[in-house]
Amino acid sequence: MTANDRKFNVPVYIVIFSIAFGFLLPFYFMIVTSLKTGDQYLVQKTLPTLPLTMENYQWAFQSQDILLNYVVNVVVLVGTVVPFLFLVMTSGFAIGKIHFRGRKLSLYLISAVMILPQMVLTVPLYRELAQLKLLDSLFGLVLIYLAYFGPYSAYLMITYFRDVPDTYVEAALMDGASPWRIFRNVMAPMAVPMIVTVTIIASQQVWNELTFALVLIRSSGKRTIMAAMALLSGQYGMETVRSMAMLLLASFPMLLVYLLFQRYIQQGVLAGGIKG
Amino acid sequence: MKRSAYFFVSPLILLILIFMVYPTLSTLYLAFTEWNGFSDPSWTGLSNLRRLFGDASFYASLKNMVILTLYIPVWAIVPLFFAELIRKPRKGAQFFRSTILIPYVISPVVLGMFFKQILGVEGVVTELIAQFFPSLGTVGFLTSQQLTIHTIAFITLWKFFGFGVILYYGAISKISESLYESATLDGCNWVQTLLHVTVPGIRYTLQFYVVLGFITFYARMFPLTFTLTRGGPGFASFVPEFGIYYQAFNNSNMGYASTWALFVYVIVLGIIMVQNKAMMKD
Repeated sequence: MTANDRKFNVPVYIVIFSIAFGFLLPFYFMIVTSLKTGDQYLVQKTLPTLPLTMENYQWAFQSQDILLNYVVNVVVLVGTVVPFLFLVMTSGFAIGKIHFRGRKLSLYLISAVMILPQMVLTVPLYRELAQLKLLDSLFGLVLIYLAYFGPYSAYLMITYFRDVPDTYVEAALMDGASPWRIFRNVMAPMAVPMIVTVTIIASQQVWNELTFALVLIRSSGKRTIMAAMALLSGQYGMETVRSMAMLLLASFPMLLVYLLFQRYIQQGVLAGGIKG
Repeated sequence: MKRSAYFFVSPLILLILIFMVYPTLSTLYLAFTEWNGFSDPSWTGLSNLRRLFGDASFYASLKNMVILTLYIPVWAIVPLFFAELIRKPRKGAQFFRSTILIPYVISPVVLGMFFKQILGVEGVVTELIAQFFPSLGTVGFLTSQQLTIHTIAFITLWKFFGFGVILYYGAISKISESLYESATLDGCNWVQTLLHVTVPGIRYTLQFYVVLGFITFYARMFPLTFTLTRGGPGFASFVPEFGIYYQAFNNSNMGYASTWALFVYVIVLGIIMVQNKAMMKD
């Protein structure tokens, strides 16, 4: 370390810390504003005011539409994640560890569809789901989520399983274990860190998704909270204090996941970037 | 064992074929039909294409794509600068990495509604600016024909900033420390080290992130933009995805919407082809 380095450090700290706090500012504003009444907000828009009020949260919990849309989001999330894990783990194991005919083709297919933007798929999917009688159905939406978000996580699982030494599989085969047993008792337990990463990635993708939920679900009772809010934001008259409470509630599950598992989220970012 | 692989892999592959590949192929057909979403599509040849090239919203979306393209260098370079800044273990670097990734995990709908509230005419940011810079007056972040697309570009840059820093940071940490030591011995300053050691060391990550930038700006702007402005005012923030959305789900022109979709496919394919060429060169 030279003197020059140390002199350089103080401005760097200032920059780094002010940017870090800058990224927290929106949440400061959301929290502080959601605890004001509409009148308090009109007088004081930036600083906290006393007395604090919970009326915006009470409003959100008493509004049946919001509550229903919220429950739909939870249902879709849970309904997707469980089959999702099964799909990406089995295909990750097969393509990562078994040398079968069509392995390269499967890998190629999975990496090719990862790039597809959501909106280009909406029209043909609308037609296809209508033909399958799955339009405006949460089950149909879950199927689309599995097909659209599955490939990315499957790719992460493939790269993970590929790095597991073949000797584990060979030893288990010598012991007479069936492929299913090898998958369940040998490979799956080894993949726990990647399973956690993939679960978090999938939860975020599904919880935050707008395009498919907006277009493929038509009746308001089946809307996810994201689709409902996006439609609401076009209308005027939504009070700032109420919308901040609603936004905090809508992002709360993902903020909680982030606080608890941020190491895995950072790993997910890195794992995805390596594919280059 | 080999036969069981097909059992393991087929559920996901079938889903992909049914809900990703088949729709992609059927767009090729639907793009040349007239179809209202209920009756059967009828073949109309090139008339949808002619309509697209005569459509004012098409040229508005092209113009917005050009403007967004200008932000690609910012998208790629600013996170790189900060990743280099936290390369050496510093106090506060972990805190920095944690907070900058938050917008990335939040739904674009939530971000859109939030910015709509604070950047609106009576929003807190607009009022503070009017208060401290009276000459600027009330800035129309989301209501000005000129400014709106730039506001959306900045929010997108902000949302992905943390992602970019973490991605670069991971790639930089894989570069051998000895390269940095010899750069210091050679008397390289900070910028020279960045250009001669860091950039060559992470060029694949850099390339990946630039490609992600093009795809984001050209084909993944809908959720944020829809929540913020609906593509307006007028066509001020109209990106190609709105062509698909409005034609299909507002005007019931599903055939013409597919022509728009075809246009987006061509863009994405173009990006991939350029990237593959660049990789071949390496």
